[in-house]
Amino acid sequence: MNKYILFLAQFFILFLFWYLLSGKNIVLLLLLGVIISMLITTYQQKLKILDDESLPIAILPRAIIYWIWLYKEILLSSIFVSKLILKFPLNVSPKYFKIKSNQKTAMGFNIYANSITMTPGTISVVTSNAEKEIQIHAISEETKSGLESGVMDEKIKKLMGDKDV
Amino acid sequence: MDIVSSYLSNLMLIVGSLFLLIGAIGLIRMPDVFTRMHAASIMETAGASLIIIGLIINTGFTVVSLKLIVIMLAIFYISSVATHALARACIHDNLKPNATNKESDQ
Repeated sequence: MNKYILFLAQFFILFLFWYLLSGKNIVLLLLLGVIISMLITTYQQKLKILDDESLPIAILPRAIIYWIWLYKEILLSSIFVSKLILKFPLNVSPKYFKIKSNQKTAMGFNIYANSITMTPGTISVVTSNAEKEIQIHAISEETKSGLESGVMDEKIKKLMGDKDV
Repeated sequence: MDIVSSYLSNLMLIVGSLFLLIGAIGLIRMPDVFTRMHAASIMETAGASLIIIGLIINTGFTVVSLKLIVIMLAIFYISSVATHALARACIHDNLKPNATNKESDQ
């Protein structure tokens, strides 16, 4: 990503955050917000910590589509785990297993592990980026097989595109 | 339009509260710490997000609803990292999950 676009995006995000926390349309406050956001963004660029990894706006349009899909998955598996909780003779048979990921980038692997934890019914317990391997605790056979079908892995691969951060 | 949005927001608040209640029941009923974490993750994803979406529909598009969106994103990110840290601490403390498939455990 171009560094001027990154600069503008970071400035816009910081200023939006300032405006959210103040919430007042006073010229002095808005001007102070512009000045402080500009100073912080300039300092970040001087420190060279403003790059594609700290501000991944290149994948943002695809990420929004992915978030909608992930939210649908979260709701579906919440309903599944809720049924499991409310069943009267409680019979859970938890599974503990390892899964391989096809992610090429560290960021994709990170998104994958976090998505697994966010979905109710599966928790990523131990992750290893070197071997691209996650140890997972699943609450039942269904959530385990849903994860092993690899749909989420493919979606994240598509989300990352040809980036290698 | 007003009636539709108020009914929709009330429905979302009720469903979110139901998910919170079910998660609380699950926290008590589940047998060990890992399965209890699964019950807690219902509360912090589906429960919290449905309640916040209901509040956003209730307030309409203002600064308050943008603040609510920031709160929702923060809950999502923080809860997933906290759950992972808790699970990893349990494994680190030699607390083995009593899982049923020993053949793929190695």
